[in-house]
Amino acid sequence: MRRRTALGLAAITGVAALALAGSAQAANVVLDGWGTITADIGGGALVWSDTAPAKAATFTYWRTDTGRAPFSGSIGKVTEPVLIRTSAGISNGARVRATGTGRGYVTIAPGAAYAGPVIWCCDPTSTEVVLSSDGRDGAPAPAGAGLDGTRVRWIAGSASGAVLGSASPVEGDLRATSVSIPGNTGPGLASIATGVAAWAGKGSSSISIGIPGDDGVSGVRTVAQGGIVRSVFATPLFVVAVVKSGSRAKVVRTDVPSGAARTVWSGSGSPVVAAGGNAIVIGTGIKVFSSKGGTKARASGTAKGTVAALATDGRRIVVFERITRKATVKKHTTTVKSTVGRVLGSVR
Amino acid sequence: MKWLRVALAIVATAIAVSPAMGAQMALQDDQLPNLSGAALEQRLDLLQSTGTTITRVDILWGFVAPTRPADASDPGDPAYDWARYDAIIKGLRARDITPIVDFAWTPKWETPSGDRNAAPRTADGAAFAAAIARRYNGTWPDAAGGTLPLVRRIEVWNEPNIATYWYPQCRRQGGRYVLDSARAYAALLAASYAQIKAVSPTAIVIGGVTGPVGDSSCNSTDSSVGTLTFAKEMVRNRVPLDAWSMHLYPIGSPTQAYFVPSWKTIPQIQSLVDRLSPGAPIYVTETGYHTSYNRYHRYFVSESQQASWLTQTQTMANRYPRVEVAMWFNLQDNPYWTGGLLREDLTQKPAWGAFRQATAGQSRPAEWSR
Repeated sequence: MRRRTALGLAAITGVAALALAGSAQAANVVLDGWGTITADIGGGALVWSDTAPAKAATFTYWRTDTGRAPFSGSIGKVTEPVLIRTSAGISNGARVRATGTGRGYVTIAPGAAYAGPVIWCCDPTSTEVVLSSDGRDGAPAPAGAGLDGTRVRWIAGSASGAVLGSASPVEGDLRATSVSIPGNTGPGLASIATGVAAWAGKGSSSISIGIPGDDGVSGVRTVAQGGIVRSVFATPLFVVAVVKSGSRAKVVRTDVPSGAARTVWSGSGSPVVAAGGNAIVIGTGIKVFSSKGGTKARASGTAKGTVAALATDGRRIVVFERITRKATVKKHTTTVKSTVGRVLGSVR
Repeated sequence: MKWLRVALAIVATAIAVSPAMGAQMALQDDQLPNLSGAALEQRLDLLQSTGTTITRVDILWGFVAPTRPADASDPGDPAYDWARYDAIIKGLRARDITPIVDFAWTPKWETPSGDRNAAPRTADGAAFAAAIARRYNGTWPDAAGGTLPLVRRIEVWNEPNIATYWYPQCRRQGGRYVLDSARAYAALLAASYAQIKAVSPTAIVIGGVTGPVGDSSCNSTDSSVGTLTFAKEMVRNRVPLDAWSMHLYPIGSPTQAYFVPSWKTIPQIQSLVDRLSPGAPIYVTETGYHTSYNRYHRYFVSESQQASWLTQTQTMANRYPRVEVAMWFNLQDNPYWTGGLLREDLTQKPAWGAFRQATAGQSRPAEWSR
C-alpha cells in the first residue's frame, strides 16, 4: 500500500500558484483569479470553495480549492486548503457548507461529466476525509452536502435518479451508505442542513423538502417556486431557492415547518445567495441585500467589485468580490484579477 | 554497397517500429506479498490473465528480516523468512512472468527510530541486497527440490527521494537544512551494486527508482527531492548502475503533460544516465492515473479517461527507444490508491480492457525472458 503525500501536487503548484493568501491578522481572504466561489459561515469558521480552470501550456485541468478561516465577526488566519485537481472534465458544481463544529466543513467538487468527491474536514489530526469519490462513467454526482446532526449527508443525481448518501465521519465511521430518493437533481440544486434535505430536478419549478435519514428522506413535500429553480440552499429553518422566470429572477424562502413560500427579492440577472441564522443575503452585480425572518430584502451594502459569493451567520455578511488591480511584473504593467473575501457589514 | 546500406536502413527502421522492440507494458500487483497458498495462486492467475509478462515485486525488508540476521548477506541465515517471496517468485516463473524486484521498508531493529521509512545503514542495506541476489541467482536450493528461479532485475530501494520511503531527506546543518538522502542513497546503491554483482554476475542493478517529485525544497527533514535533482546527485556521486528507474504519475495526459517528471522528462534523464552508464535503459517502474480523489492523490481522472491514457502511456513509452518497460501501478484499487485496473470490489474498469489490448500487441524480448 502506497501513500504519497503531496506528490503530483508539487508539479501542480509549479504552474498554478497557491490561491490563498493570509496573515496572522488577516482581515481579508485573497484568492487568485475570478473563480467560481461558494461560501458559508458556521461553527466559528468562514469556509469557501474556489473553482477554476488551471491552464498549463498544452492543456487545461480543473482545480477546486476549499479554504477556511476562523470567523467571529472578523476573518482570522487562513488555513491550508483542501486541493482537488482533475482532468475528468469541467468542474461546475463545487459547493461548501460549514458543519458547525470545530470549524469543519463538507465540500463537494462534481463536474459536468464526472461525480467528483464528497470531503469532510477534518479528523482529529486536521486531515480531510473522503466520504465518496466515484470515477465510474455515469456515477451519481453530488449536488449538495451538509451536516445533519452527526451525519454528513449528500444528495447526488444521475441518469437513474437521485440518491441520498450518508456517513458519520464525526463519529469515526467512514462507511458511506446510499439510498434512492424521489426525483432527480443537478449541480447546485440540492442542499442539506440539520433535519432538512432540499432538492430540485434540472428545469424543475418546484423543490422537494423532507427529513433526511439513513433510510431515505421522510415527510417529503413538494413546494412550487413560481419559475425554474436554479439553486437551492437549506438551513434548519428554511430553504432558499433562486428562481428564474424569463429574464426575471427571484429569491424564494420556503419555511421548513409550514412549507409556506414567499418571495424576498426579485430583479434581473442571476443573483448569488447564502443563508444563515434566520437571514438570507443576496448579491447581484455589486449590490448586496439582506432579508431577516422572511421580510423583503433590503439594501445592505455595496461591494468593490462584482459579487462572486456571499456568506452570513445571520448577523454579519461576508462578501467575495471580484477586483482588478495593476501590478508590475518584470517591468511590465499588467492587470491582475483577484477575488477578495471581506466582511461587508451586517444583516439588516 | 548502396543496396546494403538501404537494406540495413530498412532493417533498422523495422526494428525501430516493431512492437516487439518497443517498451513493454507491464503491471504490478502490490497485494502479492500479503497472500499465501491458494489465495496467492489465484491472485497470480488473475495477474497473468491481464496479459502482462513482466511484473514488479516489492520485497519488504522488515517482513523478511523481523530480527537481525547474524550474517545479513547470507539468505540462509535463520533470521530470514523468505517464504512469501519464494512462493511469489516461483509462482511467477510457473506463469512465465518476469519479475523486477525492489526492496524497502527498513526493519525495526535497523534504526534507532524503528520507523520503516528510516534510512538504512549502507552496509546493512547492501547486505540485504546481496541476500536477495544470492537467493534468486538461479542456484539457491529450493526446499521443495531443484533451485529457486533466477531474478535478474533488482531495483535498489523504492522512491528514495521522498520521506515516505527514505527519512530524513534533509538534515539540519549550521542553521539550515542540507540535502542528505541523495548522498546516503548513492552510497547504498554503490555498495549494493558491488555485492549483487559478486553473487549474481548477470544481475541488472537498477538505480534511482525515483518518486514523482518535480521541485526540490530542502526546508525540513521530510522534504522531497526532485527527480532531476536526484539524478544529478547520482551523477555527482558517480554511482554504478545498469539501468535507471523512475516513477511517472503525470498531471495531464501522457502526451500533453510536461511537468517534471513526465514522459517529456525522459530525454533529460537519459542525458544524465549517459554520464553514469552510456546507453543504459530506462525503466518506468510505476505509472498510472487515479480514478477518484483521495488525500494522498489529489489529481484524478475518470475511469474512461484512465483507459485511454493507459493506451497513450504505451504510445509515449514507445516514443523513447531506451524505455524498456512501463509498469502500470496497480492491479486493484485500495482506499489509498485508485489507479487500479480493477476496482476494490474486483470489478473491471475500462482500463482493464485497454491493458489487455496493450499487452496483446506486444511480445517480450528474449532478453527479458529470464
